[in-house]
Amino acid sequence: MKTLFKILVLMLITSWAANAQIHKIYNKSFDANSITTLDLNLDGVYVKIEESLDNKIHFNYTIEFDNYSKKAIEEQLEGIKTIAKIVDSKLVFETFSETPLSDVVYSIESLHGITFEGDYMTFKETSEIRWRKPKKYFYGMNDDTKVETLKEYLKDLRGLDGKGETHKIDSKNVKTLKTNFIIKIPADINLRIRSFDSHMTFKLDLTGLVNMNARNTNLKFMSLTNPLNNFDIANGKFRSNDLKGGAYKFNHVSDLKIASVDHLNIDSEFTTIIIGEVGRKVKIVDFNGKFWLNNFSKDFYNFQMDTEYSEINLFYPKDVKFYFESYGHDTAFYEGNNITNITANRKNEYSKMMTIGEEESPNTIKINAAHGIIRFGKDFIEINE
Amino acid sequence: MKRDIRHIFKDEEDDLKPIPKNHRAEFLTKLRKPKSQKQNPLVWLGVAAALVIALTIGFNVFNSDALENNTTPIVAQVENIEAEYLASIEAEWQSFIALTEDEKLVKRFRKKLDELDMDYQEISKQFKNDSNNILVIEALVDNLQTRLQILKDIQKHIKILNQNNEHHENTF
Repeated sequence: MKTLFKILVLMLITSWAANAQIHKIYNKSFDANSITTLDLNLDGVYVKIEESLDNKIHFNYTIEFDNYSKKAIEEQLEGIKTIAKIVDSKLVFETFSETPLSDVVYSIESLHGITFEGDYMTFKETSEIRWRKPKKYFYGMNDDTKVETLKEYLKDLRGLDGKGETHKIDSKNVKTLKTNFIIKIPADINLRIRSFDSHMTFKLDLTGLVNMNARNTNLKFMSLTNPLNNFDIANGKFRSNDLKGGAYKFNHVSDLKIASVDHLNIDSEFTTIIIGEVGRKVKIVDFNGKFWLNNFSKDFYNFQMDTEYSEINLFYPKDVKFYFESYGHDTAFYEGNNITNITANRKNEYSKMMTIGEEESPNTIKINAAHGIIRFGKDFIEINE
Repeated sequence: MKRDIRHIFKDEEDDLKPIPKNHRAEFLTKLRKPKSQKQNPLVWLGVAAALVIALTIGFNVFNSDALENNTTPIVAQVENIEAEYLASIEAEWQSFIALTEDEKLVKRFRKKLDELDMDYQEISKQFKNDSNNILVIEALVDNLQTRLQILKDIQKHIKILNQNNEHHENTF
């Protein structure tokens, strides 16, 4: 009986090993003493960037295949190319995947297709009132890394048998591809990043210079504090905790949430930007964006926006004396039930539209708005449209 | 409880609301509707929006029978959805240019829509090579949804401003 049990265990282990296969894509370390810049070119990649504590740059890139045939694995691997080279003091790393990768990709094999069982999509009733959100709300949100398990994934899915009958999907018929790609870097290294169709999650506070061009890429950062940082982001998503210094360009970026901004220039269009706290010397130029500015720091000093066709939702600075001034034309101001309308003029000339507070205040909010909608709120803002 | 799908977009910034349990199921249902059945693009807007928020996990659905044909049911369904979206986008565009006299604004939106169309052509190439990849289908629908949404949003914005017929200079 004992022997039989051992054989069964052995069979089980062998069977698991045959199904789950981990393939190394790239695994190498570089001494960072002679490298000043890491140049990353990413296409179709899911990667986490963590802090290296030994002054080396580590690449650890593996993919785990479960239930894949040998041929299917080979096809997937053939579609992934990776190159690294050192040019002067720069480490250039390029990787490309023919199939854009996510953290986990499930593939269901079914002869007659799949369907679902369960209720239709339901949504919570949305409120027309938005409450001011504290800065810490954004920190918690930006750290969120929920992953759907296979059990959750299959819960409402059913296989079809060709006669219209449904059956439970056997997890043996689900192929799983897990990407585990971690790059470890010193926090002060300079980064030059070009990314396309990718996911990048930074799990460290970056102090080095970051130059980034990203398209269709989901980005998550902790803090970025180099004053010369330069970002050009189109499409995709962007979340960050603290941004201090630098210039950021956002073109149609969704889910853009930042806990705090300080000494920052933002140039945006077609983007909704939600900021927890506006710090010192922040300037925003925008076209057709939507803003939610939840609070201002105690010493924000000077906040300026130049906007066209933008919608600005501004919570008054909490416990801070300030002066608000707005120039422009064709703009509607809302505060509770009060609406102030400044109509368009033929020459599109800017004139003073509104002031709040005393001009001598050291903290100034200046908004130049053409064809804008500006809403003010103390604790909440009500959307009345 | 079912609700007006247009409300979904009013609440985009509040992503702490729970992800609907059946978002994917809804998505699949829409894909599996017969071609002759009328698709409502607004329903797709909601489905795609939920997916964009929810999916960190992609998946492919392999239908062994369908793969042998050039036009798989999924390709046909996506073509159908695309046609309906493009018709809605065109209708919204006509409505938009009729609403505004700002030529600069029209020009800027034309440029944005052209950029999105170029992106769409790129994603379509991926779709031709990998038509069972839900991530690619999502990207296609998201692109169409974006075009429709920005046109709807700017019209709503202009309509609010057009209600203004008084000139005030005010200090609270």
